[in-house]
Amino acid sequence: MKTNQAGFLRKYRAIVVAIALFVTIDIALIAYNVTASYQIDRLAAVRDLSGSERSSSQIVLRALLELEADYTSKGAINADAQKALRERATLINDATRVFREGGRMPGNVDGIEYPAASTPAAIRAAEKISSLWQPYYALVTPLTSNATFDGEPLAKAVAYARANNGELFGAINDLVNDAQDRVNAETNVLRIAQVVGILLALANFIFTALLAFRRLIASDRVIAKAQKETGDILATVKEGLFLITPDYKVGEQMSASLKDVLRKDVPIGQNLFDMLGPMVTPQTLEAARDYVELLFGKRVKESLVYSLNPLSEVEVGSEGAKRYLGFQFNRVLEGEDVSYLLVTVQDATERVNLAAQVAAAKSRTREEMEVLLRVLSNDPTDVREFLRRTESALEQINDGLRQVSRRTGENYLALVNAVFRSVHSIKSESAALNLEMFEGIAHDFETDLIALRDRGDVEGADMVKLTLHLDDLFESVNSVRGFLDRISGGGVSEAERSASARFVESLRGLGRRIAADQGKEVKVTAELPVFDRLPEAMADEIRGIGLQLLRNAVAHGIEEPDERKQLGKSAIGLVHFSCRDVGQRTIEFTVRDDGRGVSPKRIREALARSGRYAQADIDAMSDRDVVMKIFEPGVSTISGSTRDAGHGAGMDVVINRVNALSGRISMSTQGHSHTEFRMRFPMPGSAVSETAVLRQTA
Amino acid sequence: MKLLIVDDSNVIRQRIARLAADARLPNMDIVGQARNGAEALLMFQREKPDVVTMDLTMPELGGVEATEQMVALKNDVVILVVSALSDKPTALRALKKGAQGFLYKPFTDDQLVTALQEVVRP
Repeated sequence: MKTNQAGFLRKYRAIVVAIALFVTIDIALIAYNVTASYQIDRLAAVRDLSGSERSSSQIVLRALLELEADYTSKGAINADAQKALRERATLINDATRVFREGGRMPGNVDGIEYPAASTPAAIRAAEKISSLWQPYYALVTPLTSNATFDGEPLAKAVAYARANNGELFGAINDLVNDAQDRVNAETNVLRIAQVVGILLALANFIFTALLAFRRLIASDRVIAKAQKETGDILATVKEGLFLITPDYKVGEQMSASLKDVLRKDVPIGQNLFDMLGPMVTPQTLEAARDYVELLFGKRVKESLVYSLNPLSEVEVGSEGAKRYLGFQFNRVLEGEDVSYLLVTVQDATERVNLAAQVAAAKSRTREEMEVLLRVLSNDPTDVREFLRRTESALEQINDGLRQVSRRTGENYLALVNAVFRSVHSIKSESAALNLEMFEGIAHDFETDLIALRDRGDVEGADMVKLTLHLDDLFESVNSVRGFLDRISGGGVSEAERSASARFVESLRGLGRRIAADQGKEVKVTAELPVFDRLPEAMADEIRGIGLQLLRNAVAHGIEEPDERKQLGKSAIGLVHFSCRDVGQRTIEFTVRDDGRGVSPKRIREALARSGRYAQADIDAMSDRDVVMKIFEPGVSTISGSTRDAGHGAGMDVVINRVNALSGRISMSTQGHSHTEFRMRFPMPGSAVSETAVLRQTA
Repeated sequence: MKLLIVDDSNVIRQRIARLAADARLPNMDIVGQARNGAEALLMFQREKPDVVTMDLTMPELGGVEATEQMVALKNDVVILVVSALSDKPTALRALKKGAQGFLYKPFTDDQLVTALQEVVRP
């Protein structure tokens, strides 16, 4: 509370100071006004009294003259004149004393405390009046009573009055004028002070008003900016956001995405549970009501009930377009009270699906672990033997399926039967070894084959579907073999492994990497019985050739899985390496892939694209000549380069290495079937062989 | 701060008791360990604990009823429901009866200590 007050004072300090100043000026002005008015009143009283004194001097003179006239002519005393003389003489006498000494008139008849004459002119006038009046008063006094009235004193008084009245009148007039001047002066000062005060107050008011306006404008700007920012956030944020009031009504502010996330309009003021009603079961709605009520209450700890949110995954949408929404509720506090709940709605489909995938992956991993434990429970030699036989059977099946598109319908049933026999054998063997992974796939494979067999009418497209099972089995073979290799090869160091093993490993690694980059699937096989006997330099060159040809095979030759399936091939492309002794101190190294083959048409296009040959020259070349061009540097059938292909340098490198080993190279290729490079190298020390030769079967 | 542990599993009770001694929970004294709601209520009346960890599914008297009676006896008691998440509606009922927080089983050591810290925080 104190902090709030301090904050308020700090924020409005200027305005508070301005108001205090305004009040101070007003009080000072009023105080001065009161004082000055009092002073002016006293001066006005002096003026008025001196005015009375002045007129009294004339009345005294007139009364003396009347008394003299009546007394001389009739010998009578004019009572009215005597009365006037008495009263006025007394007034002049009292006033003269008051002007000289200050104080109240006798009897305080007017209630005024008169100041003594203070200005030089007034003092002078008062002194003069006093000096003229004292003898005058002494002469007049006996005439105010019948007992002392007499002709002689009357004559003396009249003579004195005639002689001095003018001067007395003048002195009293000076006093009147002085008092009037001072009243005027004081009134002027008061007026100026009032004007200055009003101006100051006005200036202060204008200053305060301007300050207040400025603050108002600044505060309006801040509010407008904050509103804009809030608006921007609500317009931009991907989540559906809105507030609900303690009576469960939807608040006025909501994010633009809310409508998209919910896929429906949310009217302001709608009851939350009316909105949720059509989306959830009655039980969930009831739980949601309990949960929201708890959050609006103060007792539960917000962070300790999140996990009970019944709306964290709400399934919406119909079959086929099913999706999940996640509602999250957070308290909005005002002091210690919950003023709103902030509701965040997200499309949780991805999260829910991901969680399902993770759960499935965990389950798969568990199953695989079980399989591997079963593998371990067998003699590894038995398992390896099983894998070899299975792989061989699968390759046979694969070869059979690859021929499907060229066979006539009546042969498919025979093929189905042949495949069935192989698969059944795999199933039996895997069951014998308790390898459920294989048994399961083989069983599914068998089921599909039986369905085809029973139908009798088997088309090419049906056979293509079977390659899926084949791929699964190939993958299982590789996976179990890899596991066995890791277990048995775990303790073998790099140096202890043979050159051929390292070569095969690098071929497989490269094959995997390029295939992954290109979205293809490739299997590398190798038979390298003489590789370990080769001199190191020769082995290195052959290794380089092999890696380059593998790169070419995967990048150029092997088709994408979908294309392969359409062609009736296994989705997995094969690249086979062999290195053997063909007698006469000659080593033969072959690299064969089962890809799309080298297409003269594509090379013609590449040559045209390279700009080295005129179109007429290209058209004039034979297919054989065209194919020969792949050995030229800078020719690539891929437009645009990747890290694995497209630079057109690969075959040039191969030729150079072949030449370095004094070898020769030949190539055979067939569209949609294969490409094979066959190289022959003399063992070091034997005679130099022929140059490169090309053989092509279109 | 006096803690009463209520759970029908001896393993869970021992684990909570061990974690209640964590340095992050100073002044937490265990005044009782009950195997069911009825036993818990007897201990509650005797010891007047400040904090209770409450299982929900127990023989004789369940956690929801025990929570309700404890809150009736001592309104400012702090109750942390510790139960399996499979029964959200029951957990919500316990919270409606006055429990302040919920921790689902299985929990990690850190989760329990943090939940106890949070639930006793003013």
